[in-house]
Amino acid sequence: MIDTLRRLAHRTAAFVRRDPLDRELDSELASHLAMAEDEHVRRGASPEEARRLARLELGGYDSAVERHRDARGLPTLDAVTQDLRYAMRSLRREPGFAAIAIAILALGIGANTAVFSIVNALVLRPLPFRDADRLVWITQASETEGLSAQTYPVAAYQAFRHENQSLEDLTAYFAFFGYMDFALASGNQAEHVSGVYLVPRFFELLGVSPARGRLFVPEEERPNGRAAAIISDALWHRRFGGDPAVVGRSVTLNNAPITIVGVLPEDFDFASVFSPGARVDLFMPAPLDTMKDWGNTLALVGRLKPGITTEAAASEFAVLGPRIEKLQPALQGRTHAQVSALKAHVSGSMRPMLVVLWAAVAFVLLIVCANLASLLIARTAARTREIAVRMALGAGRGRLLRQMVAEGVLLSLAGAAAGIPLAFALTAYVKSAVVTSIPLLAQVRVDGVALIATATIAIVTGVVIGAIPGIRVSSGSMSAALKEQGRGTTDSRWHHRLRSGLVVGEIALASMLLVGAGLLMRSFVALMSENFGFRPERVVEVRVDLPQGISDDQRSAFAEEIARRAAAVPGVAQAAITDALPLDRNRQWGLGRVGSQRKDDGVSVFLYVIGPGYFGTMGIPLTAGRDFSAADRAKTLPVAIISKSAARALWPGQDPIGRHVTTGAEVEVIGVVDDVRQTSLEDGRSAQCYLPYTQVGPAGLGLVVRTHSSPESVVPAVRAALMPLVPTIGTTEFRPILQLVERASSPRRFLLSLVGGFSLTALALACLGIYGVVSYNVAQRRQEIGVRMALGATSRGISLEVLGGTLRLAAVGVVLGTVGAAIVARLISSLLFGTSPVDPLTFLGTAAALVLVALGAGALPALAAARVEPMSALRNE
Amino acid sequence: MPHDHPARVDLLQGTLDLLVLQTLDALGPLHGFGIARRIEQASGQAVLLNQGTIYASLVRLQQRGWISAEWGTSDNNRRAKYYALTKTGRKQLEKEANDWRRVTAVIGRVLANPHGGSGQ
Repeated sequence: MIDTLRRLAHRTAAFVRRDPLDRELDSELASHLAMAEDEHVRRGASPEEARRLARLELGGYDSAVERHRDARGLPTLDAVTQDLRYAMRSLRREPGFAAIAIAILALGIGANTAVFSIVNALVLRPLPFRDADRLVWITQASETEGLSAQTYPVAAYQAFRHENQSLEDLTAYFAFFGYMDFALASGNQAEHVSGVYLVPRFFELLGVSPARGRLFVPEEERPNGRAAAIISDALWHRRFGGDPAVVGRSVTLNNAPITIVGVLPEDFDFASVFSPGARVDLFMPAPLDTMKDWGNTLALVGRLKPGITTEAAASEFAVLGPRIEKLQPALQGRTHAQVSALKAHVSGSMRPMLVVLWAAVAFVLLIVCANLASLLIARTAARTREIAVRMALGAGRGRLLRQMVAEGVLLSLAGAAAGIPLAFALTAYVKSAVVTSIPLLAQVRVDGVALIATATIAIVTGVVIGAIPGIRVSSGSMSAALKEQGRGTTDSRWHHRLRSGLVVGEIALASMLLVGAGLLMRSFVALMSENFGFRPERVVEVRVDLPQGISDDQRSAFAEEIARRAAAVPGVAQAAITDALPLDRNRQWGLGRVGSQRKDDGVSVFLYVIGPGYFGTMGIPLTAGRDFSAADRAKTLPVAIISKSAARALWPGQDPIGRHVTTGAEVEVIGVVDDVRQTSLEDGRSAQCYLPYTQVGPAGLGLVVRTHSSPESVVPAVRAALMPLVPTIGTTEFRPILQLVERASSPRRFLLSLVGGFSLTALALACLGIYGVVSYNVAQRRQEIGVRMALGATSRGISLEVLGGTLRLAAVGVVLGTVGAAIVARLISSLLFGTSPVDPLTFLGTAAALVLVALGAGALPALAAARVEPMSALRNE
Repeated sequence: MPHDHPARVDLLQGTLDLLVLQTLDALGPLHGFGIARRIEQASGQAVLLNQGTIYASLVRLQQRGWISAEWGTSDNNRRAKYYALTKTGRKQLEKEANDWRRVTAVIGRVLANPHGGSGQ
């Protein structure tokens, strides 16, 4: 074994040091010959005779060198480098061909590298935490529900943490951080920031260490402990200019002093994992004592003990819930627990899309392969004579096949190299989406693994495209080519059939891709033309930091003043206060019918605390009753407005106005509005309940403003008008409500843009393939066409015949593609919206487009065929 | 290419290596030309050697660590590469010579008794 290894090492070294070793052997052989000559001269031979005898005895100088190389080096690798060198020379003779081939390969391989990088970040690579495969997500309900349905009260978290056996530790974060507002002040500058409350040992459980400073210590995590914050890398740079002295600095958060104890590493992106598209600036220990009364607020993250599976933990938690409820009846109905891998929770919903994306890009690569194989076949056909001569001179068939494969591999490696910048550009484009709900996008990068995958793809591609034309060469009929003239031979017919087959395959694949992209496009259009229950155009939202330490009445007055001042700005149509938004922050409460004896007699609603004019500002139609008004006061009748679904669920077929419901306190329904889409654009079954802040007190404060013209022109004036009341408004972003729709539709947009781009690429490649085959065929048949024209065929007839041939190819491809597309459509039906998987418009449109494109690609060679001069074609004989 | 005529090379290879080792053991450090001449002479010109093949054998033995090489000067003042048997080379020679003797003895026995011996 060691001996084998040592010899391999020697051989490798010899392979690498080929030139010096050759030189040394040269001098050794020269000395050998000199000594042999000396000897023959001593025996009486003439100098010429001595030289001849010496060479004769040595028995072939070159063969001695070859044997020496074989004995010392890596003969197989030697042959491979030789093949590659030969391929390089032959490609250099045809730079135009090489450039086109490399460009096509770059397209296919670059796209594959980019998609691999995306899939790698979202699915293959573990989450960017320590031993991330042991992290689990524990939730009450699936993601399609609102946040309240997924999260737990503090007591449930504590009980789970103490009772469970399968977790090393359990931690949590406050899931409703979107409702919280923080004004961060240091020096004389104040800024609106977004902060998340964390349960103790959150970072420790994930295995995240701070880049600077430290994590929280127990004195900071216990109730009423020392106030401390850890800030994100982004905030550190934005607000503190990357000053290392920020650790230990005391700043003011909502008028209370707090110490910055740590800065998180740059690659820790809380939002891209737990809340894609959000911005999170700082983290603080959760005030669990206060939060006890807040209901379902905590999102749970656990770390499995080594060796415990997710399934084992899931079955433990399934029995843990009922046991905890027996001990703490207050937790009734709040301890249901589904345990899943954190990774599955984060990116599981992206899986079907990524599978589609990967399949699409694989199709593109297949089309690229077919295209290249076809080009190489044409090239082989043109080189039939050269190859035949080489075979006659004794080149082995295996060797010829190897050389063609070497050519393919060389081309595809060059293509891969050229494709890598494309991959970087594509991934950068994908990452550039600011408004997105796609998780882990920040983790997408073309890394070493992606490059290895690329090299593998390139080599496989190269072997495939080199072997397809090579098979025929090595099958032996080539030698006949020497005798024939390379025209009308069985070989060229065989080549033509093979290339036609490849083109048909290209058209079929392209048509499958186009149908897929078409269906996704139709779904997107169908979704965007849905009525979401509100009109997002020309509405912007801004978060307002409330003054601290004032009474509820004062807060209400403040909120009223904000809305009044904003509405008075020229260009503003309407302005109103709200603490939640459609497709954004949501919390769910139970809404019960007053007077009912049944405990479960109610409906789960998304709760909004709003001010008068919210419905008008958001464009939500009021279908019955009245809006809140300034007259609804703390002392007047408590009122609520509910959405249609809530009304239907509570009083089917009856008028809800004037009836009473309870959200804890009893309120009278005074109006009914349309439902708005809450957790996703697709899900139209969400019920809302609105309460006036003038009666329940404003919590977080959001101001929505509808403008007459484009919001950008009005925002500065609104900002200026509010500045005296809210100093932080200068630094706060105004968020267009359209962004909410954009974010909710971002996965579809992402998939559509990539699959759409890939299918157009496929179309272009298929077009190129058709053109190549038809024009080659016309060139091959020049003489035949010339003869027929001399015998009276018209140019028109010839053109039509060429076009007819093109059409036949396209028709076969489209038929095969349609069958394939029907299968593809069924597979992606879960991604479609309001579109049938057999949508006739998409299928017919794709078929028509492909036939037209095929005719376009065939038109040029058809014209060329029509212009064949009979005399010149025949003279070329 | 070795695989172009594998049978011939393989047959020569083993035997030639053994002859080279034996020559170096008998004569001490020697250059390629000397080794080739010596093998021809010692075999009573029975072995007709393509002298060039000796160098493939030499580099192979060298890579295995059985012989070492060093440039030096010959009797009539020519620069030449001198090969010498190493310690492991000497052990290997002993082993290979024994193997060779055993194999030839067995083959000799089988050839001497063409009708018997099967099944024994």
